[in-house]
Formats: sequence, structure tokens, C-alpha cells
Amino acid sequence: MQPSDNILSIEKLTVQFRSGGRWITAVQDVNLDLADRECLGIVGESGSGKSVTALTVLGLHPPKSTRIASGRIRYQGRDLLTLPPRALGRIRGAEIAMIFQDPMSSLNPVLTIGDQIGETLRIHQGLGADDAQKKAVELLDMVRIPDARRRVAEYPHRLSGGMRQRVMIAMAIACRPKILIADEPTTALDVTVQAQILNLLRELRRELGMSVILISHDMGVISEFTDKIAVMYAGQVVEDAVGAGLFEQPMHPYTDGLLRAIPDIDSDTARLATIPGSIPDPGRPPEGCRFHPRCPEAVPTCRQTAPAMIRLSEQRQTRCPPRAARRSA
Amino acid sequence: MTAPIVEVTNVSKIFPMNGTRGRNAQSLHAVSNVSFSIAAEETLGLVGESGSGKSTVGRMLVGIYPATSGQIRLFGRDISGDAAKANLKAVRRRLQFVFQDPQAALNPRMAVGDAIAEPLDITGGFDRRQRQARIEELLDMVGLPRSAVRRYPHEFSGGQRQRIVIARALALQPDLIVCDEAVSALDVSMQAQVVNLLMDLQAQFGLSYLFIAHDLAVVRSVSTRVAVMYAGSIVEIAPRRALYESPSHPYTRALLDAVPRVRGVAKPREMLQGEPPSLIDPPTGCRFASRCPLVETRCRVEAPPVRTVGSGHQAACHLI
Repeated sequence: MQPSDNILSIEKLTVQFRSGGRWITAVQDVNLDLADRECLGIVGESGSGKSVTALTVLGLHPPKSTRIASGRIRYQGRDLLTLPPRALGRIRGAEIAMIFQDPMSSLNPVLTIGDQIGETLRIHQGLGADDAQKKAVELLDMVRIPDARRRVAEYPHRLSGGMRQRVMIAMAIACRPKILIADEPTTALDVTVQAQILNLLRELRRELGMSVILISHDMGVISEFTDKIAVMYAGQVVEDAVGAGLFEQPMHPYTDGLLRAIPDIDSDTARLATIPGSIPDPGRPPEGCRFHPRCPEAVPTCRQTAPAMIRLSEQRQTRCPPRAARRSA
Repeated sequence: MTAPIVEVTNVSKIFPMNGTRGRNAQSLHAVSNVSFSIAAEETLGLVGESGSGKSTVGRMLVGIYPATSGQIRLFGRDISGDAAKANLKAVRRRLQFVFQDPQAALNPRMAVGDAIAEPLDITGGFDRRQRQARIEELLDMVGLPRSAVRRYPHEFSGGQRQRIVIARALALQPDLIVCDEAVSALDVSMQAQVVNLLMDLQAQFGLSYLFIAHDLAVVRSVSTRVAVMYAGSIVEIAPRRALYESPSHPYTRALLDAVPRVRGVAKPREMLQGEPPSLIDPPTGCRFASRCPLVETRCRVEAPPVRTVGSGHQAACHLI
């Protein structure tokens, strides 16, 4: 893939947080590319660094306790990490927008939803109050909220969780962003509502020609929604793949373990496969491969040498040298 | 087959809102006319979306909420009738409850050993040595190191904390544990470990579970039978294979369809529109009527009858 095809490229990103007087690495050496109109899925468990990576794109970390130890985030020929705050502010919310897991804590309870959607338009597009309100009604229509004209004057507490997430999506698409980052957008929702929201995102992506980064812990959601998948573990991307190959033949033991540990809704399982142990303390990641203490396939070198990403094909990369070697053998 | 240890018959729970009297008094019909049983050493999975009433059912079962009407019998004793208090007291030791959030269920200032021993301390009758021995035995059972005794909950991960809660629930050798979203807050790899632990403990001690969860795949992996709730009612109940392989109720089918699958191509699905009805003024007729793709006129008027569609398989729908 040519670099010019990518609308967003995260290169060698390492992010650290200050904790108890020292710097702890939350994201290490992450490389991710998002092509125009593509949907990239980032999947991983809590603490894997998937949300931190996304928040870094928008510069949403507290500056005093965060440092970008290395890396670049290229967007339209610029590095978002070195952009002055005002310039980043013009991109954030307008060209790159984000939605989060919990719509209730993202919405202001004392403002009507029309005012909140309008705020984005007033700031980024300089619309007056009346125009902003009119546009807000159109946006509510776009996210399939019935009776938008009446709903625009309501307060968030009057809406169900699914409706609130639709409002968040309306705010995110208000300025026709090129990129939408969705961080666990359906995790707090019931499964039938989740299906509606994912469907809405799929339609909007097509209508608006957006590229999407979808972050989720749910392999099913990732599998059905995305074109390209990156699996994160303990702050690193351990495997990435274009297409469904990742699910058919995972090339990292962590991905494998994760897929096996998911109970299957379509068959009676006698016993779930498990990944022994638990995720490492981010302040004290293991030497060598970060997954080796839990890995059933670990060999002595895994304990000593920290592996880099290995390219297997145009579509696949893995951070597991033994699996890569077996595949090429 | 021996008599079921849990028999729930036509149980309803109505919560008063805005006070019980006056113009604004309203009531929330959280659970309506629910019936089921649980046999010894069996797991009944209870699935449904938020607000379906599944947690309320679990809470009524252990006496946290009294039922508004209907009968709940545990181990042959009626905990809903006139002698509710005495009967509940008599069976209390045989019941336990595991909540979703172990962080909230554990006192942060109480050492793990003391937390696990709390049920023993409340019941009394254990001397120091017996108490210590029982704590160690319980830690072994749930796969925690004995060194956990003097440590505090914050030193453990979410999965380990849920093990502590389970150890405490096992302290008095219960026969029935109500697990309310007990593995929902855990990451997949931890969830699998705790699910397996629950299954092992069941095999070892002959426990019964009411396993309440919104995750249909997890419920399939642990349950003997499964009940599906919608807007306060059980719409379908069946042995697990029948429920997942040949669901009868349109809601069960839609629910199973809505779950994104990891393997296989996404099938075009008929998506449910809208959201569940308000339970403050629940609709007459079938509560699923407003979203049902197969709805007919009578569905909006008459409450659907419970029909038997197979061995131990029942569904409440006019169209079956």
C-alpha cells in the first residue's frame, strides 16, 4: 500500500503517563494506517492501550501527566503531534471526530440536545443560533431520530441510551468529518440497540464517505464491522490483518487465546479455553515478549528478546517470531 | 427427578414511584407473572436486555425484595407468604448472591481473609483454627494463593476479586447461588477463567445457579436451561440447545440474530426497530407487540398464552 493512500498514519507511537513519580508506558511503538474510506478496528482487553492510542490522535490527554516519548501521527501531510493547540483544535471535532462509550457522561444534562449539537456548528462553522438549530434538526433526522423537530428541544435525561448515542453521533458528524473515531460506541447498549447503532454507523460511513476507527473489546463487533484489524496487548499491537484472515488463522498466540476464550453462541461448549494468568502491570512489563508469561508456545528467546512486528504478507503482520518462522517454513 | 429447589409461580413485582398516594403516584411493573423452577445441580440462565426484570427476579429469589404477588418456594419453603420471614431465615444459609462488581461488593479496608470469613463470623461456632483452616480451604477452591489472606482487595485484579467474592459466597456451603452479571465486567480471558471456576464448583459441590446475564453466548456456555425475559415477562424457556437451535418466540429469534458473530460472514438480519415499552404503564396484550415483525391485531389486545412447543420448551406467543 502506498503511503499516499492513507488518510491517517500512526508511526512508532509511544505514549507515557506519569504515575507515582515515574513514567509508565501505556502505548509502545504502535504503527497503524487508516486508508481513505476504510474502517480500522482496534481490539484488545482493558489496559491494552487501544483507547490511549485513539485519544492521542486528538490530543486529548492531560498535558502535564502525559508525554509522547516518540512517534508521529500524519494527517494530510501534517504531524498532529507537533501541531500548535489552536490548529489541532480546528481539526478536532471538525475533520476528525470522536464518539465514546457512555453517551450520558458525554452530554451536558442542563443543555438541550439541539444546543449541544449546535455548539459544534457555532464553533467550527460560525453558524448563528437559528441556523445551528435548524441544522441540528437535519442532523437528528440523519441519525434516524424520529420526530426530530420536537426532540431537538429535549434534555438528555429524556432519551434512552440508544437515542443518546444517536445524539452523540449527530454531534460527531455535524461538520462532516473525514475520520470518525468510535471508542466502544455500543458497549453500554443492549444487543438489539447495538445492532441498530452499528447499522447506522455503516450507513453514515457510506453516505458521508468517512474513514472510521472502531475500538472495541468485542471480537464479534470488530469482525462484522471492520476491513482491517489490529489486536493490542499490554500497550503494543501484537498482530494486524486486512480482512477476515485474522479470525480464520490467527498469527499471534494472544489472538488465538482470545478467540478461543470467547464462548460460542452457536454451539454447546463443554468448557471454555482460558488464557492463564492476567495482564502484566504496565509499570513492570515482562522482559522479552510481553505475552510470554501467559503464552503456551513460548520458547527461551521469547523471554529474552523483545520482538518487533514481522511482515508476513501484504495483509498480515505479527509480533510473534516463532509463529512467523513456522509459517514461512 | 427430585423436587425442584426453586419453584417460582406467577410472581410479580410492582415498585411504587413518586410516593404511594396522591395524584402523581405511579407504579413500575418490573416483573409480571413469572414462573419457573430450578432443580438441584442445575443452572438456569436468565437473559434479557436492561430493564427486562431479570435482576429483580434474582433479588426476589434471595429475599432482597419481597414479591408483590405470586409464590416463591425455596427448598420446599414458601418465602413469599405469611410465614415469609421465618421461612427465609430457615433457608438463608443455603442461598448466596454474586453481583457484577466485586469492587463494590468487597470492603476495601477488610483483609481478604476476614472478608471470606465474614459469613463464618456472623454465623459463629468456628474457633480460630477452624476458621483459619476454612479460609485456606476456600482460597484453594477458587484458585487464589493462601498468601491472599492478609492482603487487601485493591491488590488484586478484577478477575481475582470476583474469585474472592465467590470464595465468600461458598463459605457456608450454599445450595443455590444467584449470579447477577457475575462475569460481565471481566475481560474475555478473565471471564473464561471465572466461568470455568463456577462450573467446577458446581460439579464439586452440587450447586444450583440462577445465572443472570445479558451476554447470550456466556449464558449458553454455563446453563442447563435458559429463560428469556422481555419487559418484565418470561417470553420463552427451554433446555439450552432447544433455545439456541430452535427458538420459538420472535423476540428470542431477534435477540439471537442481533449478536455479532466472530466467524462467518454477517448475514443480513431483520433488525428490531424501536425499544422496549415503558413499564410504568405496560401495554395490554403482548409486551413485544410494538416491535414484533409478525404482530397481528390480537397481539395488541390479549396477553399471549404460554404454549408448550417441545419437551420443557415453552413460549408465550399467539402465533405459535
